[in-house]
Amino acid sequence: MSEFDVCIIGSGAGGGPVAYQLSQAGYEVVVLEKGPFLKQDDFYKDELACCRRSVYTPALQDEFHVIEDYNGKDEQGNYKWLSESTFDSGWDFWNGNMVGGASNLMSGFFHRLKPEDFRLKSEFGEIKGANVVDWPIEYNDLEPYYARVEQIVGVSGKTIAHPNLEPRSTNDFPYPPTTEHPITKFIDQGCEALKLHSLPTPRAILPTALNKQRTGCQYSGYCGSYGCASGAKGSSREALLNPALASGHCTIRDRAKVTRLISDASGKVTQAEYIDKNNHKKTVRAKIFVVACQAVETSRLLLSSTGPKHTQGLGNAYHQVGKNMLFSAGGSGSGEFHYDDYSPELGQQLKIRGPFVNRYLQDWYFINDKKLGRAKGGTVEFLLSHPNPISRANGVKWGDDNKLLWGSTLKQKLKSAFTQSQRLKFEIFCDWLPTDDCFVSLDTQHKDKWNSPVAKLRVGYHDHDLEIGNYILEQSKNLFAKMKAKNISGSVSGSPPPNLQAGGCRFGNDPSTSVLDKDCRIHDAENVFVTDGSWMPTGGSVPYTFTIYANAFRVADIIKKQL
Amino acid sequence: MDASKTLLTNWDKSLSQAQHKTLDANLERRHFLHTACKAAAGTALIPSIALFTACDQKTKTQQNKQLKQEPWPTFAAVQLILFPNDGNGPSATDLNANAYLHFVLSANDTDHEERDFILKGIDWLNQLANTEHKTTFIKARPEQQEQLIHKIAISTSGERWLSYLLLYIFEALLSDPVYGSNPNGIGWQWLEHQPGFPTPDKTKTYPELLKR
Repeated sequence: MSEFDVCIIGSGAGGGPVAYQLSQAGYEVVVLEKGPFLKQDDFYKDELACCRRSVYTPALQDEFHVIEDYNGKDEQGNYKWLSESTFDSGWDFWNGNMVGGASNLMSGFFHRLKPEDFRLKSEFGEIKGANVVDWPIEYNDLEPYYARVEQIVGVSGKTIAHPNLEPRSTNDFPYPPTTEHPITKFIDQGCEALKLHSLPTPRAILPTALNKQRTGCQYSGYCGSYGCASGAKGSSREALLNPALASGHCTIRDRAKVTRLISDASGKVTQAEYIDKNNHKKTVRAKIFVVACQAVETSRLLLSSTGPKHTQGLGNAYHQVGKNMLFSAGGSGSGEFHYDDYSPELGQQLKIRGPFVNRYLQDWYFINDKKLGRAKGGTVEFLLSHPNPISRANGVKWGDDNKLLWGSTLKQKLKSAFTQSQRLKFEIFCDWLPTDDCFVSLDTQHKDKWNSPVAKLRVGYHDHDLEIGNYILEQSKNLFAKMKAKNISGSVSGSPPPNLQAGGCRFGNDPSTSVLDKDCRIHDAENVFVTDGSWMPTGGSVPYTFTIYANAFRVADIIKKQL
Repeated sequence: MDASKTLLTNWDKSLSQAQHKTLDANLERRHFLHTACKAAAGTALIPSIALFTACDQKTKTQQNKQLKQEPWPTFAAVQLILFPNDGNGPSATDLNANAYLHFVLSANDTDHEERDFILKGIDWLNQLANTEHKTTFIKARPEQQEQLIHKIAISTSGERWLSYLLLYIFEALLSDPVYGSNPNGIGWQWLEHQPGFPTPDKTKTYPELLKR
């Protein structure tokens, strides 16, 4: 006898919509979340808590990953890989270990994918060394759910016609854009001169109050990496789990680390086994299980969940679990705007912290270039350099000769770096092509504090990603030059951003080349769904959270029919 | 090789390759919450520090008492060279940087290798002062102290040690005053930094959140 209709593992962007939809429909839902239940009144603008201590992420001593990074080629020209634990390297792959997951800490850039993103192989052809495929669904299948997220989670913005605008079933966003920083004028003027389309950024931030719980943005200037103290940010916790709890049909068990899913001879999962906050082993029974632990950990959990029918791990009959991991390719850059170069009034305006730099570009989402041909490009997003002052000061301590500075020399450099200019950043989001060199497996040597094998992650990238990133980088730097920014710099690398994970359990129609069917159900486990970004065979050229939310709403409708 | 060079080379050699790596990794992204048992193992090497995280009056009194005893006066002297009272903004003393460092090294969540390394640095500095000037660092003349800091910065371990001390001076300069440093936001004011809001009260500092 099942205790619950649905058991959801993970409470972030993949888990929240399912909990919301099904509990509102009257089904009994339990959410198992490894992290603590921090609430709105636990979030403060405190750099130590946010970003310099492991408060929102696990201690790496207790839980870590093993990263296999590119380490040159051998004499035969084969890639060599260097394996190192994240505890040893300090390269942390955890993101938001708490109820609501990493959505608590997101910047909230909410761009939709384009119809072409659903059929990348058909549109742009094969790329040697990349495992690009078309999706088993089309943009139109997801569009109503993007619209639903805009309404329920709360997305602010303004639709402007431009050559690469995706089709919409609604004319505009349900909430107007957040207040804008004066520096947006510079971007608009630069874009106009270069005949680019400067667009207002859609953002999962409410500009004004929705209700008593979700009041409008306080414009403190500390958003990305920080939990929201006003409920304006559309985190899974704030926008979806709180209403789910209010329905009376949702139970959240925090600090519950799921160790495996237990399946029977037919392949169906019957129970989730977890360690509770008191370090006791527990199980929970349900009719349907939804896995949404963020991509790396979802693959790890499935690989750890062997059973009579799933001898290689849940859904891993064809050794597809963990394969074709995705991150976001691209890079970033910046330029300085020195207050002395402008009138005192404008200089004062540029100093402001709080309003958003609500601008992005998609002029290079599709590229037609002599060298690159017709290619998939990406999105450029603008933002002020992160306000965290300790990190910033720590970056100032090296002199031009790479020697440590201290004393009055250091203090002068600090004063200058903090008070003379505003630094505007741009971030480039491109497709991370799926390859055989980017995958998750179970490490055979290292275990976490619960004695479970940790995830081993190979992080190889495709050179094509760098070519596309560099093309957009040069265009972005040209724009900054037109804006008369100083000290313009930027870089593109194949290093994976740990907060932008997807893939590993791609969906498709062929069970031998995919883990999930088009409904995100495991091919040979009819009562198990995966709803974090793991299902994505290709990732598109925007941050993933919006699409993860939308797809999880879609899957929730499918689960409802199956119950 | 002269005696000072040998001494600094020995400091580098006293750490295993793994320790060098861990210390650099910590410095890179100051992620150092480790298990209680490891933290406790580290305390064996520093019997003079009582573990505490709260900011109540009793602990403050205890802390003030400890700060008068070595190695803390030497830490304070080094911090003042790194972040001097030069008329340009607050000094390390103004920021309560010494008490802040004491808070960090006493916290349960501080990596034991990092804690040991920072404390051991005082021993190496004093050994160098003895080799060069037949005295301890704290008793050396101001120009001798400056010269000793320059000298240790040449070695890998010495530069890393100074980097750690600077990192915690920056934290003392720019973290929320609830942690006992940056009194009345003097660091923020000097750098014209606009802090975010709301800011934490004593019940919502990071050690308190870690108890959740």
